[in-house]
Amino acid sequence: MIQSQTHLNVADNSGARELMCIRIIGTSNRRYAHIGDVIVAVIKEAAPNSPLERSEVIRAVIVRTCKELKRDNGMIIRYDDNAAVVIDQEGNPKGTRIFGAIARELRQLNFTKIVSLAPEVL
Amino acid sequence: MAASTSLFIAGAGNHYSGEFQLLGCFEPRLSRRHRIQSGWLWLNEHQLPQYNWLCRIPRAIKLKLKPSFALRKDSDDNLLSNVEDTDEMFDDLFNKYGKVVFRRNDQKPPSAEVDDDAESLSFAVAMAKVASEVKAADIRVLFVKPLVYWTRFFIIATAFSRPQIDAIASKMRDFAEKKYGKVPTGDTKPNSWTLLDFGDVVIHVFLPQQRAFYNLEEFYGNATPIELPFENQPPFHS
Repeated sequence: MIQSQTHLNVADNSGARELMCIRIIGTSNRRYAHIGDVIVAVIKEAAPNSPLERSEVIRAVIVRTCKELKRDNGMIIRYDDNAAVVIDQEGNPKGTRIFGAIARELRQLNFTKIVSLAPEVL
Repeated sequence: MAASTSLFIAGAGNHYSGEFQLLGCFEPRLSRRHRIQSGWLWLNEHQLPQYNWLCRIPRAIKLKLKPSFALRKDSDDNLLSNVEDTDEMFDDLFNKYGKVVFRRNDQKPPSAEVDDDAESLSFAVAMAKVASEVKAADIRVLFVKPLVYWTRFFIIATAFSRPQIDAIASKMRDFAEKKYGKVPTGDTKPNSWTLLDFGDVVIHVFLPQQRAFYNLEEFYGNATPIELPFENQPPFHS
């Protein structure tokens, strides 16, 4: 359940450390974003000497949420944090590696690039 | 009474023999009938559990006996009826499923897995050949099934411009749809990293910079590289 003003961790090595969601891309007036949704975010904290800087506006894909993800087979996945991966306008990730476990739903949502960079797919 | 003694000889457990003794005492006609039914055959069958035999007593008779021997009969009857149910239930289950009661339906035998692998391999090699026909460079086919569960083969190729990426991707799409009836998901427009996802085979076409930047070969360094039949020979088509 990511909405505007939600702070998220960054699950890649793009150089950003913390994001704040400012808009959910998709339909208008949508309240919450879940795993696999694209958001517009602002970088609140960045690693030094990285191409991304603080207060830059970027796009990101949500890869982990504290809110449970339910599957049709009854499986429920709930992560410890809210995390996102920074992408560019074309959908390519800005980092080269993803950290932590991600859900396989991202592949169905056409983020196979993120899945193929991830160390673990649940 | 004869029947009851025969049961004792047969070495039946006290529980059931006691039960039968009561039956015999109560109704002489019944005991005679049992003797006729099973007779001394019972002695030969003493390996079998005794309740098999007792279960053959019609239920109506057992019920008829119930009021006069309420104390003993209650426990015995409960036990017997339970045994009867579970026995039949297990027989049914055993006839239906054999020794394994439940097995997942989506499991494939190992031979089918090998067949699937071979099919995916031939598809991957065919796609790599298509890529080499459109002059993609440095084509690698990796067997990544032992590393990731979600696909079997990666094809990584380099193209030198976006029009070339477009040509490679569209030719692969056409070929896969025509020959194998597979339609990819992934990028539809040419991209600096264009990905075609055929399910078992995932194709990455990079520009040289992006290929060095993402460095997928290093990330999947433990995957088995597949030898390509055409790599050594120069392409004939212009």
